[in-house]
Amino acid sequence: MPDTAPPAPSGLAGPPVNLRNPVLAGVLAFLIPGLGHWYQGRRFKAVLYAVCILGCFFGGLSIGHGQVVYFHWQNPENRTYAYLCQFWTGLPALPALWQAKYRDPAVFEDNRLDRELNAVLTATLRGVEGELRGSIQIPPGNPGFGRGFSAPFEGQLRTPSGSVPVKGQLSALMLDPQVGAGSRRRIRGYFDGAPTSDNSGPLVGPIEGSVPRPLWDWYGAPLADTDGSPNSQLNQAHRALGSRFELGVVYTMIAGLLNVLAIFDALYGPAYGDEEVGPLGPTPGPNPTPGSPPSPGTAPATSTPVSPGGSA
Amino acid sequence: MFPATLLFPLLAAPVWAWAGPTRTWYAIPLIISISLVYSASRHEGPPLILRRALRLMLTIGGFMLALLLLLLLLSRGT
Repeated sequence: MPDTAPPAPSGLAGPPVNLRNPVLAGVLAFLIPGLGHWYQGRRFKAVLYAVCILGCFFGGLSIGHGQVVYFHWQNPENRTYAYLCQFWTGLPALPALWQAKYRDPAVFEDNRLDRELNAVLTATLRGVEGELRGSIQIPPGNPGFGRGFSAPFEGQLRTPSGSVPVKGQLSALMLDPQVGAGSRRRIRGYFDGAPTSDNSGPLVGPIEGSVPRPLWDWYGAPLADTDGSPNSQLNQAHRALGSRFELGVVYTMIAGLLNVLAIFDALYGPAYGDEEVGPLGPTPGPNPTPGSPPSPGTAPATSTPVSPGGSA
Repeated sequence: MFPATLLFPLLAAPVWAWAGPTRTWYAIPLIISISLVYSASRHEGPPLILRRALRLMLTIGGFMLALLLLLLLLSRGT
């Protein structure tokens, strides 16, 4: 449809709204809430939709620690029906489909590295006060069942009284999958090292920590629940978040459903226009131009025959 | 319109102040968003959208407040 399409009547009594190319506007409104209205020149609505819908979506995502928007459609008891609503938020929700459908299944396996891991490890050492923080470099590979990766460690032990440089060796490292829920990838293993600046004793023991995941490795990543065990990612998320998990799901679902209203508004214009609505529905305004075709999707009364006196 | 507009915040403020930080607070951003988006999808002019949204917010909030008061009443003494 050309951009010079005649303005579509937006309702009963309101001024006609120039919807430009409604199909393009609808697609834009789907992709980014408010973008279709911005394209149509309806700036107030564009900002309103963008703030409300994206605010709800990312607010919900934040409440649910980024783990509440994902797509999983394998086990009948663990199908993400909520995603059917979240999907309508458009681009912010689409990565979940990509994560579930187009990622190599190997990236969801525990203890596997397809490329070198070069990251900053933040961890705690059992029995030692403070936090170990330093860089690690683990070559790619798959150590096999029951075995772990090894890597040198060089960093600092941060305690309330200060920080000391530490050097040592990490062994029997077990890694969470490359792609998973949450912005950090958990690492467990064993540390054998010592401070390098003084003669205090060795630092030896089990270590538990994490390294950051790149955005594309966690955003919209499915929560694995393959065996329904208490340690599945889905159950871990429920334990960690409690009711915030469900709140996040509700927020993001409502964001998607609200964008459906916005998409229809971009396609067909507002339902009522600018007239006041009485208890029995919109009150009729002036008659449309004789002979002008009714616009699809306008208020029900638009397609209702209107008498010359103005009453439906 | 004036008393109805004031009724909800006047009633809600002490109830929510008494109830403390509960999950009920999470409803407020949702009520605001739903009211604004729904009204925007019905009307075109900003003043009318905002007026309708305010009315819808008060309706939803008043309904929730009535339920909250009922539940508080029923749970008294337990």
